[in-house]
Amino acid sequence: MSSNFKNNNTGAYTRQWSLGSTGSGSNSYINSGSASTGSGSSNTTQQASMINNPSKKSGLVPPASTSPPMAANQLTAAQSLELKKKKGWELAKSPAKNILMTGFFLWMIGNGINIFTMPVIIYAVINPIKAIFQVNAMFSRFSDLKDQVMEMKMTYIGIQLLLLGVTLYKCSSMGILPITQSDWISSLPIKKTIEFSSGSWV
Amino acid sequence: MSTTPTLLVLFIGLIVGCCLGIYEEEVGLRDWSIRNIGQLESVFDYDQDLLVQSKLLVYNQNTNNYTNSFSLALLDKNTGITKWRQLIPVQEDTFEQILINDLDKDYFITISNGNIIRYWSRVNGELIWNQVIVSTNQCYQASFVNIDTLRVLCLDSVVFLSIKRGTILSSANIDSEKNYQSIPNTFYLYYRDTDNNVQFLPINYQNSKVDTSKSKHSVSLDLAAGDQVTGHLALEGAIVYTSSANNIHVLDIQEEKNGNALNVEKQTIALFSLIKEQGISIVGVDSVYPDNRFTVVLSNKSKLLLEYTNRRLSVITMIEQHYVMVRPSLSGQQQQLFIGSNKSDGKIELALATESAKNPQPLPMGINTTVNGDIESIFSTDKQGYCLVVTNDWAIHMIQYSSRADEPPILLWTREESLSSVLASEIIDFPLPELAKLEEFEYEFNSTQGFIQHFTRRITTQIQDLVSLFMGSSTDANKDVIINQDNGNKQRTPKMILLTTLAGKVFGLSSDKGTIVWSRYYSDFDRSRAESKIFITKKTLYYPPEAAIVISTTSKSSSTKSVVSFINPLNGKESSNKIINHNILHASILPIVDDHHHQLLMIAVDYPPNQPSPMVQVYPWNEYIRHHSFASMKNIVNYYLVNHTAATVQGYRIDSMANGLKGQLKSDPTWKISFGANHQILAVGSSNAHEIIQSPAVILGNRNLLPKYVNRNVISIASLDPKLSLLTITLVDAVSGITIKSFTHAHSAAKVSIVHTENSVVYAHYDLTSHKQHISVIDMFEKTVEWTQDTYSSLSTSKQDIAANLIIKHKTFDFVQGLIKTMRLAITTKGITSKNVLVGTVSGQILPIDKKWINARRPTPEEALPTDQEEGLIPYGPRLAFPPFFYITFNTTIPALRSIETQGTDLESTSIVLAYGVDVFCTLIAPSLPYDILSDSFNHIALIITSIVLLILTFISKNWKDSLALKKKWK
Repeated sequence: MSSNFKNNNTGAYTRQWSLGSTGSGSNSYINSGSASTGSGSSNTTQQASMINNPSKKSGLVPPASTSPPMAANQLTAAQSLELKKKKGWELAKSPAKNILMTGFFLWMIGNGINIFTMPVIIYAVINPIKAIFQVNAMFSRFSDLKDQVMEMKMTYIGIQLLLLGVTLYKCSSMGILPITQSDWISSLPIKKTIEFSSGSWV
Repeated sequence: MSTTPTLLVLFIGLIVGCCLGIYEEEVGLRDWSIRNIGQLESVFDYDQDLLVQSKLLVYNQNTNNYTNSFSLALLDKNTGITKWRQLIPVQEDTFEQILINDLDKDYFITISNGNIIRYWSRVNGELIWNQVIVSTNQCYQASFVNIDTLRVLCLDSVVFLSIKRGTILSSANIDSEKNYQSIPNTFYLYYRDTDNNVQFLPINYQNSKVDTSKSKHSVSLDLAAGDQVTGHLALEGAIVYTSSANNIHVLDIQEEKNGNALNVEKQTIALFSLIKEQGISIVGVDSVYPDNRFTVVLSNKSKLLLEYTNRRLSVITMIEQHYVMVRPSLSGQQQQLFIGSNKSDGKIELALATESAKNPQPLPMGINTTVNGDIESIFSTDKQGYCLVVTNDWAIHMIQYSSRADEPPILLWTREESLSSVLASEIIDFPLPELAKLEEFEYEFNSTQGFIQHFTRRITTQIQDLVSLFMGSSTDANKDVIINQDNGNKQRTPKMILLTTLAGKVFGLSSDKGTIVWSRYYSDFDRSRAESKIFITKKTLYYPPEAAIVISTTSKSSSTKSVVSFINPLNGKESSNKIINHNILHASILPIVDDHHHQLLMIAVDYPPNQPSPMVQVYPWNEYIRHHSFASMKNIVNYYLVNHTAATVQGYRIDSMANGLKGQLKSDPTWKISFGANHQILAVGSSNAHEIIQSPAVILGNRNLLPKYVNRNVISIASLDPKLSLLTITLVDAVSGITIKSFTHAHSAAKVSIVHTENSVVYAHYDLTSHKQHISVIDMFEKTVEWTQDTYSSLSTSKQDIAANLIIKHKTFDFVQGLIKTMRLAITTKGITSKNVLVGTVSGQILPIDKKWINARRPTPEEALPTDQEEGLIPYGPRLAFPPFFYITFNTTIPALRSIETQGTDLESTSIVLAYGVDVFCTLIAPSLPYDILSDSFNHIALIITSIVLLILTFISKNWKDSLALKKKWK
């Protein structure tokens, strides 16, 4: 089954992804892609873009364009969906592996505020936020899962928020979160005495 | 082997030298001091130097008056700079004599306190020995018997001392009721008995014992009935008596060659045989001058200068009443007999009495009665025409005089000795540079001014600054202020220090070098009341600034009188003055400003006298104040009067207008605290009006807030029960009169200093039993605070509210670095820098102590929590000890330190500190290190060169990279 066709009317390629239909090439790509999601959300994003346009990055040619379809090896639509669902959940839960590692890393850097700790903290704050904002792009390939994709997204966001929470906890223990009374002391008024008094000796 | 100790000594010497070197480097870098000697009393001339003895008036806080103290100094004759100065201990309140050793003029003798004899070196002011004659305290005259022996004449004895060692060799008792006097160059004493016989008593010291074997002698004055002796003095070889019958009796004394007998011949000369004027009588004799000259005081207050030579009395001249006669020289040193005029027209003139008083020479410009007052005394130091003129303002002027009419007197130098008794001080900015002014405006900006006005002012100021930059001139209006800044001045913008003195002179000193920019003399200042205050009524920001000087003045009537003089503090010129014909009870500046930026000055006067509701006057009192500020003033302005004798503190509140046209208001008593008749009020502390509070709460270790109880109306009253030596510190709200808390200390001495800062009261007291100087601190916090309110009203807070809501902590520390004389808070411009308490010790040194050391919340080590450590609280230890290099006075002292004044500078990290006692001392301190300024050692040139080199290298490397890239592309 052909996968990429140029739409004559719009001039854009229409992508129809066929899992496993061409044998090891496609599967190996997905496997390697899913394995790489474990290394962090930035890799996940990269992988997502690679999935969207695999020929661009990997140099792998989609087998559908070169090999004739083999009906015996093709999965049914239901199986395909099941597999997709499995991969979707894998992707949604993938950041959970980072929680412990991030926590350990943050614990190791100590509470001092210096040029070495601040980049780590900044990246640890930015990455979950960035991942949350890219969640739609990340899960676009699972759009045919309809109702379940939302759950995946929520799970993904939840785990990212948990990661963010770990980082913010670290920030608070470092004292760089304005969450205590003392952080707002500059906005507190210094009370002026209305009355005035002075004195002398007689 | 012998070289090792030598090397060791050299090594130690090197280290000590290095240590001293460190001090030497620091002294004078950021500080200056004016070393005073006091009111000149006697001078001795040493060609290039002047040995002077002078009197100092030292303020005694316990008795609230001034006691006499004395100093000795060696001045450079050409510059007036002190080469050395020695202060006689303050407890010695009399000074009887200074006597130069005729046989070795590098040494001299002093008698002070009636019985303390000291022998000094003139070269370096070193004390060779001192001897206390314990049997008496009424020694009054010393004379040298021979090269080894000194004779001291006391009321009841004659004591002989060794000049070399100061030991008492022998003594002889004399009748204390006879008041013996010595005769120069003889060993005879004389006195006059009730029958007007002059008795001569020989007391000599020979062969290590007192010799009284020589014959006594007696001569009758033969006074007529009703004639009484009015005065006497001893000349060389003669004694002169004056009597009420206008006769001068001269007893000519000749010792026989063998020294065993005395020949006395009496002459009686009638006054009218000497002068032609009739109707004048003799009042007494005055002074003895060299060459057997002396003066007789006449009833018309003029003086008759006489000379006794060759057994003949002759008149030299008559000195009129308005002339001041030169003081007699020490040890018969040669001198010129100057007279100075105190004429009613205000001119000060100098003349020679021996020639003619008809050709007086006016003193140089700058010395006149307006600036200096009348001549008080003249000291002639030699025959060369040099003389020292002391004027009523205690200033000492060195004059070079020539009797030739075409050579007017030259002023060589002037010392302003009134600075030795400073009464009050204030510090004000010089006109600021435009950009600094902009910062000030921004800081003072508030919502009442409005954004548009603020923005317009900002733009205008910046344009003015640009214009002045291009035009090469400043737009500042102070063209009349000239400050010489050629000595590597460390202060970016120096300030003007205003000082009022006991002599009635007010000074404006520049804070960078201590130069006197201007002075103003108030001739009618009442020195006995010594009341003087300075208030800045208009800041320099709103040019021209204004200061109000409130001084007590002398009055011909018995009623007290005061003057409020409004001056420009930058040049000392008076703009206006108000005479107040009543006793001033209280004067203060109010936090109310009129439309011309004048701060209101409030003066409470005792009128009607001794009534419970004193009248209050307010300056300026104009339409703006009447319409805009009067209503609020009625409700907010309070004051309190501390009655020292009755041990009461009475609070008042301005109540109603008595006479709105003249700015007179009535004050009503509101509260009163009486400590009992047997108590003394030692001190009253209040918050410093200049202090800026930046933080409303303390940040705890867990990052919660502990709100400070910031009430500027809290005063602390230190009272003492002398019988029990029980010190009570009572915290009182001065508006409502509510007693907030009191603390007691047993066995306390009657000396307390108090400092208020933010929510803390720091006080120093001395424990009589443990002989320890303590510093105690009271810190006040609030349990809950309504942060939405930005004002605090004492009147709307009840005693129950205060008791329920306040957390009051108290701690006491031992201060181990001497007795404390005074304390003051180091003020910074915006109050961001950590608070420091400046402790002035009795020894005259100043030590800044960070408030974190004097903190009532310091936990004991066993109670300390991790959060306390997180907060930075130092575990409690009773001792407050600091290394000696913390002293901001380094190795110098301010004798008889009286008070410390501080003010912020244009840099937040830095405070200017002014301290005065006998000396005036000024320095810059950085309590938390100079964090907003580059250090002195910062290499500006290296920074500039590095920047330029980096810029050039960047440019070169960029071009090089471009050319490389181009070449690569062409390959």
